[in-house]
Amino acid sequence: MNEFKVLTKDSGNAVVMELHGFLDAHTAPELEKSFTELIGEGKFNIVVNFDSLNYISSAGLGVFMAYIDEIRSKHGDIKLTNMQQKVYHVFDLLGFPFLYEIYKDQDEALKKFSAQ
Amino acid sequence: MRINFRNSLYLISAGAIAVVLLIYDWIRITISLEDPVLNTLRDLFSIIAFVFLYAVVNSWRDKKQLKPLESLRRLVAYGFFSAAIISTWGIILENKGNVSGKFVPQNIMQLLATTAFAFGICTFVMILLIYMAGIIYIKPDKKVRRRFEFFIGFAIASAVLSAFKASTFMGTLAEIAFVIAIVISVFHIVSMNWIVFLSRKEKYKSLAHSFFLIVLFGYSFASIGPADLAGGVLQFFSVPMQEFSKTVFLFLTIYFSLAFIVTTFHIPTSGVFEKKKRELDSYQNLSKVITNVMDTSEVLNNTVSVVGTVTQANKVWIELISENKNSGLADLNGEVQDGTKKSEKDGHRDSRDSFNISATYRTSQYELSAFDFDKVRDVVCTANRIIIQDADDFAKYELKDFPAKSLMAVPLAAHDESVGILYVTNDMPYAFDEEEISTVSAFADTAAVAIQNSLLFTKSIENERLQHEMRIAHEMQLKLLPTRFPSTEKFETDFLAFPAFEVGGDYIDFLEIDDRRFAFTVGDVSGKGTSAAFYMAYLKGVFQSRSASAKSPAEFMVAANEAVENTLQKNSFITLIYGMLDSQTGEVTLARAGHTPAVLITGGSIELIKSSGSALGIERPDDFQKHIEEEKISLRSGDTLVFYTDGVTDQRDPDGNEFGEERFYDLLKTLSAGTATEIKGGIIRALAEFSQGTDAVDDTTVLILKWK
Repeated sequence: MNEFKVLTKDSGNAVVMELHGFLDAHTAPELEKSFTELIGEGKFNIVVNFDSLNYISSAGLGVFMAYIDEIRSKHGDIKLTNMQQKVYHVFDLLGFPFLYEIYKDQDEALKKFSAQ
Repeated sequence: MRINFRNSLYLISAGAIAVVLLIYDWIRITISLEDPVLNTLRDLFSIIAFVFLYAVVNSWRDKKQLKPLESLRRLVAYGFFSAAIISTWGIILENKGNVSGKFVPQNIMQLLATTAFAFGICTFVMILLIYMAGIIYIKPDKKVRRRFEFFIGFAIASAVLSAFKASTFMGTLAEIAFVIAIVISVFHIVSMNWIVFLSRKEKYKSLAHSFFLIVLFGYSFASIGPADLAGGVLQFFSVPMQEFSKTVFLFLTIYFSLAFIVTTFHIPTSGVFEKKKRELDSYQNLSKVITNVMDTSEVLNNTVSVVGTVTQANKVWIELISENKNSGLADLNGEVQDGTKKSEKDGHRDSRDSFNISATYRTSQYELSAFDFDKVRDVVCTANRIIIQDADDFAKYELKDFPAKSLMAVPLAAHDESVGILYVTNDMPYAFDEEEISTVSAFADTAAVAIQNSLLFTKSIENERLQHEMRIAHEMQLKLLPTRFPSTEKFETDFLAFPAFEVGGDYIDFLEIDDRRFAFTVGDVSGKGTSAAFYMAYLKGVFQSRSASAKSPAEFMVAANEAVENTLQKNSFITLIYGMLDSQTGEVTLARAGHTPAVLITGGSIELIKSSGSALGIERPDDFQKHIEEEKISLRSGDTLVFYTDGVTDQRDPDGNEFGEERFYDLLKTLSAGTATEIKGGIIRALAEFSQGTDAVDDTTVLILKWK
């Protein structure tokens, strides 16, 4: 079965969520849990690193959509980084680049947060 | 009495012999004949008469197997009559004997009386023996029956041998046989299991009956010896019969003296015995009742009430485990789960699963909800069961104020899977000994199987219902698809649409706006299954109603986005691609909202049309409007335009490889020369070949437009 896990690391005034494995309907709740935890801890500057993510389905995309409004209302953001070509392609077709800042590397995203 | 030919024959034979004996006796007393040899012959002859009598009596008795107390009652009755006859005859014929002390009838009247008495007593002896056999034969225990048969054998032997008592050797043998018969009588003390199974009340009745029987049979035995009055009378008529009667009365006296003692000793334990018997009966009842019932709550309620009454528990209740479900956003997307998720260790549960109180006896959910049984549950789930015996234990499990002094919790498990926990409490500490524990565990095991069966039964009924509804939904959705796509001299179209499950979230449609403009569209609702299907139907309504009025594809998209924005959930979106064909000019205007690119195959090469536009439901309306673009293409003869959904490219083969965009576009290139229908067929074949039976992960839809 397809595995998925999230590793969270603090970095300056932001938090980096590393996604590993397959993000689909089965594993999406795991991602939801991570977001809920971070929001609960008052951490609204979130960088999501997709380097180790192999696959994302519409359920996985839906998770980001579910939390983005709340996080932006708290003056935070979800910035997406280090996507593999395949994964970026999915985001791109859907028009996510209009809504989210997508960077090649997480350092760029972190710089953006620390510059605030 | 069964008056049939055989019985009549026996009676007549017995009667004939009696008459012969009478005559002989009359001669005997008249001429005072006392020839030993003749007497022996006579005695043997008399036995035959009594054999016939026995045959009659045996055939007359009620063949139905009597219960012990019923046999005892009859024994008392017949014993009383025997004792009565013995005493009255003895008195009537008293001192009518001669001087030597041995009784001899003096005249014909006394002779007749003697004969009548002999037959009478012997008949009663037979009857008593038969009812005694009824008690012996209650249980099919070979040893018990054999023991009794041996007794009878030796009693008969003693009787027959006594006919020859003129010879001292034979006389001695007769004595020996008699002694052996009596010894066997004493051994009958181990053949009294019928006493054990009597109820307490019946045991007391049995005591009373035994007492009377001891008195009656003892008296009879004492009066039937050769030196006694009644015995002397009988002996005159038949020495063997007198011996036999004596032996039988002694046996009966001994048997019931022993029975009296055995009953006395069994009365104290009858309480425990009855309790055990009740448990066994309840257990059988429980098994029968609950395995016949398919309603889970009935099974549960029966179980707690049976356990409660049989074990005389204070409170009884059952908690059932409800399986962990994947709740959360993923569920709301409508993506189908593959059943419920089990905890990591298969079949093993822990207190993270939710336990629901499902049945209670002498308690209620409210009372129990005041206490936290998590510690108990943890132990039951990992170990086998838990016994809390005193106040310290209760404190250890954080149940300090619980209103009971002992508590036992056993898992309800069948087929290596736990379905719940059974709790039993008692008002006294240390109430659960090994015996109680094994009883409750036995109940729990049976109940667990029945609970599982009823749950499976309910689930399978639900599944059937679900499947039925899915079939209906599938048929209804088929009606929402266009039945055919237009073909004119200028262009032709075809499509394929395969939902991944019974109902799907892909949308494909067509609308003739006017005599030159045709709108066509393909859409994909995120997720699969029934909720995606609902959006698909909604989208159809939007398309059919709005595309005519929209001046351009981009405008239609804006309207579509507005229409679905309010109904879509936060985490859902819809991708859509919309084209408007001017059939006069061959010009197609496209708009793409987050959808897979349109594929234009022209002159043997592929062009991807990836105009800007985010999926419906992602951006705010004004942002959406900002970003949505249109693109215009001019179709030339032989050109093919394809809209598709990612179900095509996401199709997997048995090794997990994707069909992928490259392969799909290459395929379209090779098929592009054919008609729309031929291209469609080629795509279907290629997908089938590639997947080799692997299930589709997403709804698969392709629209093909060929400009002629």
